[in-house]
Amino acid sequence: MPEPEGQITSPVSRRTFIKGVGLTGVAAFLAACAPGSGATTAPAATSTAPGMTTGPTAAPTPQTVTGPLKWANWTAYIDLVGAASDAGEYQPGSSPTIEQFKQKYGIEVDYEEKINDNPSFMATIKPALVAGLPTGWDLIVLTDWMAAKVIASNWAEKIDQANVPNCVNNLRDALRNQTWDPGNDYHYPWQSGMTGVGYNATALSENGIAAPTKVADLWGIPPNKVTFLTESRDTVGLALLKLGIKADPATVTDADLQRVYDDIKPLVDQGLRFTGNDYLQDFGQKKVWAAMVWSGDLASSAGEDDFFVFPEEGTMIWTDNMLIPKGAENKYTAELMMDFVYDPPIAAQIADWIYYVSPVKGAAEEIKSLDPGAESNPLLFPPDDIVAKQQNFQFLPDALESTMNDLFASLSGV
Amino acid sequence: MAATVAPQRSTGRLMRALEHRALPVFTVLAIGYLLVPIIVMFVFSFNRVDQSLGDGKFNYQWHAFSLEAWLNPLGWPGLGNALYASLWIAVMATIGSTILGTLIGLALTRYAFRGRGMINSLIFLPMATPELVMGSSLGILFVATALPPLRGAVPTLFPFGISTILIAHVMFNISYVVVTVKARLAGFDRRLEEAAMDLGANEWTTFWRVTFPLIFPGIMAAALLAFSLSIDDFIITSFVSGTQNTFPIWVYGIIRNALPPQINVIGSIIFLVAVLLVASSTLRTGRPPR
Amino acid sequence: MRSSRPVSPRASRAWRSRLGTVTPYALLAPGILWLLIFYVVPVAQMFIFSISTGSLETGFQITYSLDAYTEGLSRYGEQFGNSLVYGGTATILTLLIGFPVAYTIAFRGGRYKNLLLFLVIAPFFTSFLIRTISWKILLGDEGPLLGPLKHVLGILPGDASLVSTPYAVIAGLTYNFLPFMILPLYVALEKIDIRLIEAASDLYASRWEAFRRITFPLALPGVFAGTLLTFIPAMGDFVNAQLLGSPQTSMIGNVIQNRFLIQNDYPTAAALSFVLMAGILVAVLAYARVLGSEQLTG
Repeated sequence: MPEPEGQITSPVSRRTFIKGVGLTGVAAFLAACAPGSGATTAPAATSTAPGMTTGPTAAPTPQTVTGPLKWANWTAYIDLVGAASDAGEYQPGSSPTIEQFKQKYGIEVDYEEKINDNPSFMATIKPALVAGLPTGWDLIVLTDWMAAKVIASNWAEKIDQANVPNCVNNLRDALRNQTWDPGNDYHYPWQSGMTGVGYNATALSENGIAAPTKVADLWGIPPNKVTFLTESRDTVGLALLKLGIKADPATVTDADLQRVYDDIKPLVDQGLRFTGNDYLQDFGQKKVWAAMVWSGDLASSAGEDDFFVFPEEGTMIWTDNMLIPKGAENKYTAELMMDFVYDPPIAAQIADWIYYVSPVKGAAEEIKSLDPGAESNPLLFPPDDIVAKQQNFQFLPDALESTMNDLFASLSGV
Repeated sequence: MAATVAPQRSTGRLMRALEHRALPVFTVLAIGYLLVPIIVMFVFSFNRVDQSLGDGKFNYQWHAFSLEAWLNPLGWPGLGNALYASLWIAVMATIGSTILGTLIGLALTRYAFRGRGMINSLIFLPMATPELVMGSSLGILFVATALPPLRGAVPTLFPFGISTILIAHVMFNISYVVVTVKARLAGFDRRLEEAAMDLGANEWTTFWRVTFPLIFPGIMAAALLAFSLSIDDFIITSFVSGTQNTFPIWVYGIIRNALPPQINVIGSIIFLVAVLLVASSTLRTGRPPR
Repeated sequence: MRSSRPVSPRASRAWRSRLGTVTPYALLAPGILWLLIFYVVPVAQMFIFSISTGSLETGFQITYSLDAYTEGLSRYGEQFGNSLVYGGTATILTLLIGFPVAYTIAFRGGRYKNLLLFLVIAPFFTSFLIRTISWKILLGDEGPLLGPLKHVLGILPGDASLVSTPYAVIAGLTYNFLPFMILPLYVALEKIDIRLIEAASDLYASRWEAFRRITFPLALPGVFAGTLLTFIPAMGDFVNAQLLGSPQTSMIGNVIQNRFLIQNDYPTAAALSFVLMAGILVAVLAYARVLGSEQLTG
């Protein structure tokens, strides 16, 4: 079956040359000597022949840059050309970081904003993972709880730490030693963020409604002008806080979840909707006045009168993580990308556009020099009083999770 | 009797007024209703959506007239690839389904054979099945070929990609091709073929020199229909596309975060090309293709 | 080749008749096989999945369990109801709008007939998705329709909205399937011999009588075809409900899509699809019986 995407044609001599390069320090070496070189075609490990699976131990990574790198990420989650960056240099809609990576390694990157929430994206790749076939993606970004499940199911490729020196050196200490992957064998954080409340100031003031300061204020706005998140941990977590219940997986009971359900159900009956990252579309269209949103999105991608507030009750905290799904065809290139975005200047460039909390040591200093004043932005650097009220509702006991899934499915009407 | 005539007259006058005044007005309004979204699409393709000028990323409100999107119709990452994939799939699916469907159409109109009723039902069923059901059942089949017990016993049609989309598109197009080709063959005068045979032509020659040219417009109409169904399909494709983008799938994904006017430009171009194709074939045959 | 080699007429006829019995099957084989493998087999397999239990991780086993049906039907009655109500309302609306339009084009179109028909099918030349997005723009809370009513005329309160209501979903369905109704109606009406209606008038039937007794019955095959072409896709649609609706307006299509694509719950997705398909089939057969039409497989 011929593929419609044009494969990148590359000068053969350079390709063969790259193949001969040794195992260590490849990234730096390539960066120095291979601009504009292209993809090598199909190393043996990338065959998609039926029945072929990658063994339990990671196959030795071919040390060649192959592509296109297929990267699935969330909406508004990388620096894009627009108001915040130089519009003249790159095509509208493209990302300077991606363009720089493409230039540095001479490889195509197929970056797609395919992730709207964890479950719906996971469902698209799960059949392939179960069957032991490639998912089609080389790099994916999942929130803690889902990343942990994927790693526990042995659905992630083991990262060759020698290929990611920046990650090894620059990962912030607070994010190391996660119980579900203590040695970062399978994941490196992409960004951390908070779930809180967003609103459109114009619409609310025109209709005589005060700007929300608490989660509870969302209940005082016409429900057909409000959206909550399809990511149940966020919606249920904030709703627990609103009821004055600590969103701690160890103490929350089924009865608490039932109270949340009873609290939200009347809103649903009056037109409340649930969205993934596509709430940006509703804000773009002025279809919502207020919503549960993730901390950086409105600042990076919505209108000038759209704001994020840290609700008085607290926020939900989470980290999204880069993983290489099992059977990825361009594992080495994916590792190069992980390493690339852990370079502090690049990390700063990304964080300063998307307004999330960077996991990269040294990014803070770089941001200050890139964008003076950014160091006081609470989205990038949450102050202590905000941090004190952050709650983590990521890892739920099985029974609690299944109760929550049932109640939540019934709320969202499907 | 006489008493009932007068009211009948007056209802008659009412009906007449209705038919002469109200109906044309209603028809024009209804057609306007059908065209409104197309006009919106076309007008908004000339909208300026420049984030650096504070227009945001959504082509929902009018900002200013701009030719930017028309000058740079593929100027958004991923759009070119998606469109290219859509065109490729549509062309291949059209070729495949037109060949398969035409053969079935020939068999159904030119030969008597057992099981004809069943074949007719089999052709009709896919058109009567909701796309959703076809998409989900085909998706489940493809997944199942990668799982035990089917795994290894049959060719693995998974992960999803260009080939699974193509299989699905050929499948749902076949019935439409058969119906269109049959309509053309139904009015076919078999005596023309007999005449050719009488003049010494063999079956092969007769087919290519007589039959085929006569049914060719029907085949072309079927191919056009298949192409337009394929390039626009969203529901079935969404179940079998996996990581592969097509134009509709790409649009569905991108509108979460941006609505670039390029979408309207591509929509308008597809519209204009289709209109030109139909207009030219209407001019040639003197009647609109069905 | 045969012309160069003389064959006795009898042998030739025998050869040809043998060929005649094989040829149709040879012509049918590739296409029919395609439909068997990629239409019949999946539907059959869907049935098998619907009586299976399990999950992607544990594998699916055929257990002849009807749980997927009982759970699906008891849990999603409301969504089935929505599909029926929205799909049915949209079908009736397309008939009410489409009949006068088809009638006008068929009988009063004159030299504009082709142009009018062309305009009716024009929406087909743009993407279904783009058309629905256009409606989203038009019906938007601050869009060209509601915006002025709220802010210029001040008739509507600020929180009034059309999008996310059943009305928007029905409007979207009606719009998207209207051409499917008009075309078959037009085809049926256009076939009617105008002399029949004139004869009725000559026999002192009123215009209404002529319409009721002659035009409408003769248009019934068109009504039948148009209703099917509208009702079936409308029942199975999920795009309109998703783009123009809210959780309250979920149709069964949204549930099947969610079960299949988001939860990988194939047994329930399959059971619901099967119920939908069977329901549609029963409705179609009942409808055919009521209309007394045999046009179905024409």
